Amino acid sequence: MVKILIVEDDLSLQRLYEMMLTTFGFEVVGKASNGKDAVDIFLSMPFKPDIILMDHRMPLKNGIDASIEILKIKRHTKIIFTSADKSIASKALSVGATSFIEKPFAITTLHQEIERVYNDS
Amino acid sequence: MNNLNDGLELDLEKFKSAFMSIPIPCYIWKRKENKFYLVSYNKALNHLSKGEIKSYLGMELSQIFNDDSMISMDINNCYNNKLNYCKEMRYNLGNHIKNRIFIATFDFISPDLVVVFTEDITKQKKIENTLRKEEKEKSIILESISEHIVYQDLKNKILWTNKAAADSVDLKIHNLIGKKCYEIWPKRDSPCIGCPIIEAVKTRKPTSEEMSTPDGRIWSIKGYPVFDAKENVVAAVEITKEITQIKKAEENLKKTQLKYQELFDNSPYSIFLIDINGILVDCNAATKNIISYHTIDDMIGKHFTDVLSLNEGNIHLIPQFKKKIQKVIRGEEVKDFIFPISRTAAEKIWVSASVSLIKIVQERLIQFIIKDITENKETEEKLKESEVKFRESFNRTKFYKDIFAHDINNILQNISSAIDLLNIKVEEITVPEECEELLSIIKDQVIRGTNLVSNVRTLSDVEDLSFSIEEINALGVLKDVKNFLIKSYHDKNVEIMINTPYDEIKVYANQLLSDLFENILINAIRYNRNHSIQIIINISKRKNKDNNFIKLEFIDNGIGIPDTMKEKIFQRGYNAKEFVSGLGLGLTLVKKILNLYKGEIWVQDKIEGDYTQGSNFVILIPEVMANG
Repeated sequence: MVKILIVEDDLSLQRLYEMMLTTFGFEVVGKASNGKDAVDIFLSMPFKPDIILMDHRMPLKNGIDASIEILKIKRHTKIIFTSADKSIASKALSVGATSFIEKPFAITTLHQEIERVYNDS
Repeated sequence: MNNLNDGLELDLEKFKSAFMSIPIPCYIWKRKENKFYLVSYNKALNHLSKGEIKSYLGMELSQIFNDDSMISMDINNCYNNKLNYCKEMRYNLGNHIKNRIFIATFDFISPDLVVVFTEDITKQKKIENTLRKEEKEKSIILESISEHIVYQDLKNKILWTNKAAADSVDLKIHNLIGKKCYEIWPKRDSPCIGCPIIEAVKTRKPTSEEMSTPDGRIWSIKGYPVFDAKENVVAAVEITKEITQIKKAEENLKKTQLKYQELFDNSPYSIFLIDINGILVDCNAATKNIISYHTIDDMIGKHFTDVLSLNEGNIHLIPQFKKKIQKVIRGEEVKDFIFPISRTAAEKIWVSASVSLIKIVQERLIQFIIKDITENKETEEKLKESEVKFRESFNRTKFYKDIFAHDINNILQNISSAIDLLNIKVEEITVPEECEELLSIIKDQVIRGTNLVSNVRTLSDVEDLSFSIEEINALGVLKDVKNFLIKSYHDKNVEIMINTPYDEIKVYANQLLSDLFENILINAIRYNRNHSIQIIINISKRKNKDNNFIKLEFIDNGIGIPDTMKEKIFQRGYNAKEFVSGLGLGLTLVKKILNLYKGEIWVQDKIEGDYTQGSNFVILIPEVMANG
């Protein structure tokens, strides 16, 4: 089962992602409301998630900075960026994110992207 | 004399005496067997040879002058042709007659004598050579100078000219000799009126005049009388120099000076002329337009720092002035030197000066051309203000666009995802409680979207409009907001409790107070993961620095705010250095409204040291006191 860490500061969206992912049969192994918590949670996990669903604009630490730190901890971690700000897509990919989905997106898009990213490995 | 023999018809003693007394050296040669022998000499020769001649007496000619065949040739020539003649010659004799020049006279005395009289002209020759050399040098000098030198008689007939004079009319010197000077240069039949030569002859004094010739050239002519030994004027020297270019330059300079004077007098800009010590030498009438509390006469002679009143309030400008003046003295130009000056004791204006170095009658002066730019400066200031406003407006627009792009997209993402999921769940009809949750999320997001639109509008109003402050019953407003939110979130388990001992709480506020309360409470509901959302509002009074406030504490059981975020959450706005995302516009609006009320806001942990237990938003609003 694909293990996913959700990083999203919008709590209702965080809850929706959780519902979506479990509906599709993925396992949500953790949730973080900001970049700093995401790094802390990732660091504390004995078994790292297969994929991280990462928002960008968040309090304390944004998604790009959190991704840089996470990739330093585990180099080939797969990170799917979800953001309403398309202008940060190239920056996200350049720091090592695996893919970028612009908000708002259909849940099938997210489903397909997770499958694609996971199977690419 | 012992060898003088017969053949002499004169009385011997008389001859001897006469011969010996001849003041110039003399030799007597006698021919014998085709050779000549020195038979006698006089005292002058003895003296010249310092007695050495004595040793040559009786010797044969070629033995005496063996190195000089010319004298032998001449003696032979005189004898053979019976001819008496004179000749300039140079010869050496013994140790004392060397390199001397003589005029030798060869006289034949029949039948066999030749008398040679020698006049030593070595000294005269040297003088003559020196004179010749000096003459040549003078000639070179006269020929070299560019002035025309004409030596003429009393009737203006040219006796001599130098080369420059001849060249000026493209003629040779000899073509000018004998001509009248007025025929050559001014091409006239009679002397020029006011001719300085005629005048010099007449007055016996040097005279000068400027004259022009038909070809348009201008000349400076000086006449000098020439006197003879008896002080009679016998001739005149004319020295002429072409001054056409000088006169033209003078003319141009005069014109330039006139133009400058005209500009100086009529310029709309103030023109200051100061000397290199900083003393005002002159200023034009326009100066009154920029400095009206001094008269121009008062200003002249004063130091520029006094004229511009730099010592009164603008002392910091003095080093700048000194720097600019030094720059100008170094030959550089200073443009757009902007500084303030006092037009009157009460009025300050801004001026722009161009500073340059000028030369007037050999004096170096520093010229300040000063223009009043007060109007430009004010326009510039207004433009700057306008730019700031435009920049603020631009940033504000960008900020709202940014908020909309982010928050609306998140809202849409919520609604879209909730509907997608709802569709799946409805097909399954297995988890009705999840469907209810999804419907609740959709409703929340609609409230969130409505709140966002309302906040943007209100924020824009707060920034652009002026709101009056009035007495408001804060408790009444708070209760209305509480009721509205309870209704809006009826599907959530929201509990809002107001603790106050007062029935009415009057504050200085306005209609925005409801937006303030609504935003604090909506945030408390939104950022809460608990099934039961609990908000307690404690109301009390507080005195702070002589002011009375109503203190409202909004204590929730939400996700809390880490310490590092506690100040930043109120800073979100278009001027904030750091974009704090995910918090909507609510707290930004709350902060702005409280600024309007001269109130305060801060956030602390519900339980000190553990932010995860929830937050306490504390606000202070100025209280309306019973006595007014």
